[in-house]
Amino acid sequence: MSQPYELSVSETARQIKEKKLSPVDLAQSLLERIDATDDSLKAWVTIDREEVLTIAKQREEEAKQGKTRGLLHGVPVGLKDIFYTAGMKTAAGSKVYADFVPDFDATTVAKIKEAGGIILGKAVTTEFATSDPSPTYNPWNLEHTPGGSSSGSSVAVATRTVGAALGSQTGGSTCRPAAYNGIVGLKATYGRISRYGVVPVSWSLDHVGILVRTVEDAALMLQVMSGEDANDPGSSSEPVPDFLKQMAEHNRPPRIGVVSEYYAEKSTPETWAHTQDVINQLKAAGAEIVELGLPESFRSCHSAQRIVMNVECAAFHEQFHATQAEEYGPSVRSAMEMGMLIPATKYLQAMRLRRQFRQDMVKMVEQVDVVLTPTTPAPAPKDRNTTGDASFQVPWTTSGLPTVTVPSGLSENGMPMAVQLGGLPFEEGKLLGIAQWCEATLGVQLSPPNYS
Amino acid sequence: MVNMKPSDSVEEIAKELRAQAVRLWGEQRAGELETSINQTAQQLWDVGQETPHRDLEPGFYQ
Repeated sequence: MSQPYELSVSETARQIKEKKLSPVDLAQSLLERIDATDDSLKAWVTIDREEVLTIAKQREEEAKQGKTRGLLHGVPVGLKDIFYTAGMKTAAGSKVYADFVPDFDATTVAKIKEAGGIILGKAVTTEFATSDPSPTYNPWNLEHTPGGSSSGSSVAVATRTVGAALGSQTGGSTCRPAAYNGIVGLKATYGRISRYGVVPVSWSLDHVGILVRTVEDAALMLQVMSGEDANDPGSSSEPVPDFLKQMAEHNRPPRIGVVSEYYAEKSTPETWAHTQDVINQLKAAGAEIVELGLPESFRSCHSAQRIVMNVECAAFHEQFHATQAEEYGPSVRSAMEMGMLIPATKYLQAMRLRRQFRQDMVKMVEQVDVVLTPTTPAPAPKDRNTTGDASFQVPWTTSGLPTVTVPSGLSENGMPMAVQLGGLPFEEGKLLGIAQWCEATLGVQLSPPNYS
Repeated sequence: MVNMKPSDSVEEIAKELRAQAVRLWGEQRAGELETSINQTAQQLWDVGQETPHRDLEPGFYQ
């Protein structure tokens, strides 16, 4: 019989609803699991055990009476330590924010609680969710980077210390660590999930990310957190559909666009051969494969992303930088200082190019059901001084289009590999249905052997 | 104020950024930023090579 900590979010929620699983037993199982793994992995930064068990007890009593608050009743969820939690420290991996205790919950955190979820704790983030190295270790091989910036959230989910955790993505900070740790990562359309109460890197690029072990769990978390929020100026008024229903409707062989241009050249031979093997498996199962060309505007999308990110990062941090520059890590500090040097005209030109790029990406994706690429050019590098290469995620982040990463196998050196699927704005239900079909067709469920 | 012309090369853009960094933070810090300055110069040059359609406005929130 499975230990409670091994269950997916969807299965956990089902068992609690059917009174087969106690929320208290589940919470204790996860806390013990953290005790058993976190000395070596350093995925978690703040956990209020007493509060977790108190809330779990309340959810258990409610469940016994047949009262469930919502889709996550009794389910623990982890948060990257940039999500505001009322009364709980939100340090953003930083000396500058070391003592910051918010007095309100991020909209996403409030929605998780409303749905009956339990905040298990805060997971390690790289400093201010940028690219300074993470203190967290990759459970597949401690000498390799876990990726970033959502390193703690990804490792926590991969090692079964929680079923779902929130991350964020400004370049590639959700899907890249998901791929490096062998789990599912979802970055929904820009505006789908509120950013209110999330320490920003770059207001116009930041997305809330979802880190889970199954595509179904990604849909469940998306359902709970989606929706317009007057507190987030980037929030969309697009209606929130029934993602689980849409996912079921689209769980069938799709028309898949593949892009060799740029991706073949930038991937390692092993990664590209692996991706071709994945495509062949999907084709054999009934998918139609269509080769696509990239739009001309692709050529400047990475530079535009970096310019926008650095300028907005500089604007947010300007006051802190004036008095506490020495307290920042080298990467985040140089990013904001570069942002201070960039002329306003260049920032605005980059924003115009982004808009063109989004329009062009939509036209490209409209030709198919989804676009498939490797998630990363290579598996997690054997280098703890980097968070890896975000270049394959950046186009999806820059354009704001939704993307999901699904584990697809192991490399020769035993590290997880993954493919990334991208879809049209606000069509996450379709994207997730196809991702679920790919997940079932590939049949890859990964668990780091030393932490299984 | 960084002074950049559309026709500037990557090297010329880097020179402007370097001069501004020295003015703001001094020679030592500007030297520490050399790699970032060169990367940013390349990014600014890349963006400068594109000509957005004249009617295209920036989309702040996508």
